[in-house]
Amino acid sequence: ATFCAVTGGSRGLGRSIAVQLAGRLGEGSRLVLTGRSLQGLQETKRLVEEKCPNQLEVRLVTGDMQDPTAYPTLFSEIFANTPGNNAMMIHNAGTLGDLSKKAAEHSDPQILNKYYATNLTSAIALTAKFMEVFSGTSVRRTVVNISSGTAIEPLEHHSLYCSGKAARNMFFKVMAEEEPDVRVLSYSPGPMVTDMYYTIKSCGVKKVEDGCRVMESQGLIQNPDDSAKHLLILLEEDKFKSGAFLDVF
Amino acid sequence: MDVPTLSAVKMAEGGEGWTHPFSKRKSLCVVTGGSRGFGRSVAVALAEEVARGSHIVVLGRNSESLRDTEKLSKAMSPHIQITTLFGDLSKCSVTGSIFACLRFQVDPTDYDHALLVNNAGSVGNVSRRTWEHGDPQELDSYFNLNVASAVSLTAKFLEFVRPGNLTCTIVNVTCDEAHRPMKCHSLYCAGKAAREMMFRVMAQEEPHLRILSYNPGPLETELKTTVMVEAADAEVREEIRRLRDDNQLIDPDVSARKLVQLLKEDLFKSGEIVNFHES
Repeated sequence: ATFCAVTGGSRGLGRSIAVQLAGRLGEGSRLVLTGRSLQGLQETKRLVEEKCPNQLEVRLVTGDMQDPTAYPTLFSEIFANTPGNNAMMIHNAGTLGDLSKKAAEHSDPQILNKYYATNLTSAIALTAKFMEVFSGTSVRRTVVNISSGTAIEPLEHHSLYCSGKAARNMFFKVMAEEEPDVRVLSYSPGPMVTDMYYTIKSCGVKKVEDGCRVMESQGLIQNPDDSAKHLLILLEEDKFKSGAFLDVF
Repeated sequence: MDVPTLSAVKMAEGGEGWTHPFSKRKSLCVVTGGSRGFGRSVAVALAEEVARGSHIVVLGRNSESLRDTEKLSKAMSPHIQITTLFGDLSKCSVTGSIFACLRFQVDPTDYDHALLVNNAGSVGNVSRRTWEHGDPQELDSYFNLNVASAVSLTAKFLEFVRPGNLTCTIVNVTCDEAHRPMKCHSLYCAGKAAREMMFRVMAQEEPHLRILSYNPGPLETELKTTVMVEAADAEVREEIRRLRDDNQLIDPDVSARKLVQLLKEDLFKSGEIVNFHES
């Protein structure tokens, strides 16, 4: 039996990952989905249960990673009464930040603080809780960091997103060095047809919007289901070097 | 498209009439984390090089140590102004109050060149492993000091100097750990990676700015001693001990002078990362 938590499961890639996981986790497994929208989470749950009725328990936890004071309650709910000898944590929740602002315009430290709380602090603190709950080596543990090509290559108007992803990649690389018994993977899902993509495409910055149109004309924007499938193949084959940064292509 | 620096063009033209950002041009310099270590060394190295009438502002968390930095810098040149400002950059409110304070003391139109050296930082609790960083308030405070404050300070600095129409250089003090994972340094690696990336994006977006990420090399400072003693991993402690015993730790004054030399030559590509060890 496997315990698997996916953050940002109310839509987009998180939803696709949850649906792909259904049927692959084994009898008696539990899938915990977190997100800000209960409605979205319920829809994801419906799709999961439609795919594999009565095989796994799906638990929904609503909450916002932006608020660190809410983490203790949120995390306790995620990890209440966990079963299994396999545990997987998929850090998928993420936000873009204000794309209209260039790096040199990010003068408000409160806004920066909120951004890094949502996209960096939450993943670190949640990983700490995950490791505390599933301590000891009898449980096979896997941690996935949903990353991006922008963790490596700077992208204009995406300074918050790029820097958050770069930070996450390094954090999980260090984790892989320190914890050889934990399988750690940073996965770049590629550009996908999701709400996040539509936010980028309509951000009002011509350079960015033109970039999206170019990618579309080259057929580079995928269905998140395909990217999720690729991730699960990587996890099932289990040949990646722990701490590696791999992408969908 | 590479925007050539004025210096590079003039060097290419045979070097005649070449002036680097510091010579004969009054500079307004801000250095963070200047109470000790590398920040202090940078303040002193700048004091040695900047033109008459320049102004160096040093930020730090220790008033007494800031006064020592001030004394050492003043000793380098009586013709420049040194201002020290006390502030803890791990608190969100501090970046705003720094410039509110400076507005009363500094008129950017008095200067020709502006320089900000983002040096303030901490290594985090190295006695903790990655999975022991469970306190969100501590993490917030860490990323406030090491990432958010450098970014917001830079934005506010640029806003502050804009009325003067100055040429502007921004330095981000970085390290190997921005790219090389190191046990016990998960927060340090993450913070430095975030900063480097932030300044690389900035360099792409702002071709008129000169942005340099400078890796000063492993320095002989209190920070290193702390890690050598407190790191949870024996290999990490041993690695630093070995560096120290083999005289591989660099004198921060030497590294600071190298940084100032790079700034004088002004030949670096904006957004580039330059190491102390590069010739």
